[in-house]
Amino acid sequence: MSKNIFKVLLLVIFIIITFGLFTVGEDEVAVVKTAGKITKIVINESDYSTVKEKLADKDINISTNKGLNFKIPIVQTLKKYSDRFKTYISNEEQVDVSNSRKIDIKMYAQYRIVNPEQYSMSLDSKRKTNIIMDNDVYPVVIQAVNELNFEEVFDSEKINKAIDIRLKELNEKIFDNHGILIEDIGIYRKQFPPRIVSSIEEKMVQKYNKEIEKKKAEGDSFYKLKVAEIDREEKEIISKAIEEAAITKANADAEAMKIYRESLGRDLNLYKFLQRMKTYKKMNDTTIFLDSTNEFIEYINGY
Amino acid sequence: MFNNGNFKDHAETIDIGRERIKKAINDFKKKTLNVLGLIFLIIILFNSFYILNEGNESVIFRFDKAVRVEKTSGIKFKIPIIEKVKTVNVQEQNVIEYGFRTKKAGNEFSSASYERNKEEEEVIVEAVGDNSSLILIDVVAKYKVENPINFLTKVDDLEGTIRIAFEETVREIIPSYTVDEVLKIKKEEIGRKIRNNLQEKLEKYEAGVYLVSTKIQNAYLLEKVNAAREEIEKANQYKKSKEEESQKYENSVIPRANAEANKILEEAKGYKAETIADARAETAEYNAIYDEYIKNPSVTKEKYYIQTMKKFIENNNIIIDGTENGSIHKFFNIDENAIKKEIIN
Repeated sequence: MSKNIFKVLLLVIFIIITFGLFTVGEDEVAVVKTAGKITKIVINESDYSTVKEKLADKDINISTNKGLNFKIPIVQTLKKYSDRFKTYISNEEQVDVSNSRKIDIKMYAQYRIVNPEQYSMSLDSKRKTNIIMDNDVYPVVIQAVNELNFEEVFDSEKINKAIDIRLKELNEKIFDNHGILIEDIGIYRKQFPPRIVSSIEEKMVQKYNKEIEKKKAEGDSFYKLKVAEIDREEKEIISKAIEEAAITKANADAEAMKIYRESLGRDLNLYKFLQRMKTYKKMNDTTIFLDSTNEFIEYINGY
Repeated sequence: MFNNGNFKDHAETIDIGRERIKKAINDFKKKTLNVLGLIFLIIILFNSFYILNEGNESVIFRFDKAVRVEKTSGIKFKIPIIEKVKTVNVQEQNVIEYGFRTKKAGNEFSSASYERNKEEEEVIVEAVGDNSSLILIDVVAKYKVENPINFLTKVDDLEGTIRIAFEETVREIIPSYTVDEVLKIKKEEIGRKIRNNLQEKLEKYEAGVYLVSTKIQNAYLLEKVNAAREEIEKANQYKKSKEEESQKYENSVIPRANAEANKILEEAKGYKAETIADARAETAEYNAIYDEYIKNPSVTKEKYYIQTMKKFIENNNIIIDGTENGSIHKFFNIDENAIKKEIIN
């Protein structure tokens, strides 16, 4: 008899262990259903107040006890979800900005399951979650970009502000409807549309070409100016020397005239006489014709 | 068929056989249970401890819930079966490449080979001021595990998440710089900013990693643009050569002009000295004669005249024209007017 009871006890323990005990991992949240009705959820401690507020009017046991848990075997069923940050990535999209330019963007969202109760009823799969991201999250970013001009899209403060304004409202809606929270949303790739790249490249080449021409022109201009300056300086140096030389020569002439004046002024006729005599003295091998009235004849005649 | 005595013996034999089989089965069960029990004990024993190597940390999960982290190396104990261990290397630097991927790491026999990722590489730069341009950039980030529990439990695809955050950060920071700043001037500053912003983002995701460094590996222009940029260097050299040429011109012209000016001035000084000396010489001669002349003017003058005429007659041909009509010139075949012209000239 006691053996049979022991065997039954063992069996009960086995059933309890196998079908009654369950673990909720550090990176998991869980939903426990009793005959199809959600009666218990296991969530992160940090999300307790948010979820409690949402489920205030529901009779659901909210537990933050990760690790070993218990459910009534067979009667209660368990579904677990990962509550790690998951990434949603959009397809590449060409978007118009407010100043009529275009830009190719790819956006992302980092989200996690906060309220497994709502999530299990509404989505329950990554595929459906991605559909929600495409339909609800993706347009938020596009609208934010549409309102900014090209420069502002690259200003992280402005683009983040434009997205954050919409994110709060979006999160309220998504949390209420689907039990997930978007922790981060943004644009991770911003590029020129491929057909514009060649014109950007051309623009950059032209910019450098302008700089090249400018430098060459600066070099030529500098050279010409400098040469003109040097030529002017050369002329100034020589002109000044000529001027000084002329003054020196004029002063020399004046001084010589003064010497002559002081000396010859005593008897100019004597000077003239002496100069005539000098001229006669210098004459050599010259044939002189004298007529008979020349006073020189007196000399020859011996007076 | 059987008499009563034989039947009884046979029944006893069967009973003994049954007893023996039963005993053998029970013995087998006992032995099996003992062996299983022993195996179970051995499993429990080996499942109770593990070795934690230097540079690693282990996270112990009890019923899948993280309960503690072991940081020091050595033999560690855990509750068998219900506690599981996950070990994380916290010293190893993990590398995330942006703009390229290493196809084959280098070794002592061959160099590394890389594959460029064009879509990642092309980044808009100088977006402010409507002067937006394109640049190609390769960045490398290195990270270590800082919080093993978060590292193991918080992010679904950690490498993918880091990669997206990395690209977002690069494309957030680069547009506020000019092409030259990215190419050379501010590479370090940009690397630091990327690192700080990316770290902030990863902390927001509670990724449990620490960015050791972020460096711009390489930054370059599109091919045509690069060729044009290289021409600027040649233009710079041209400009410099023109400056040097003008300096060379200055170095040759100005000294020559100064020398020319000095020559003119020296010639003028020479003229001055000569002119004054001539004047003095001439007046000195005059003064000497004058001193004598003033004593007896007529005698001095006459003496001077006679001396001069003597020399004049000695050194020249004197022809006295005694003709009445001046026809002496015809005799010598000389044109009178030509002579007058020569005298005038």
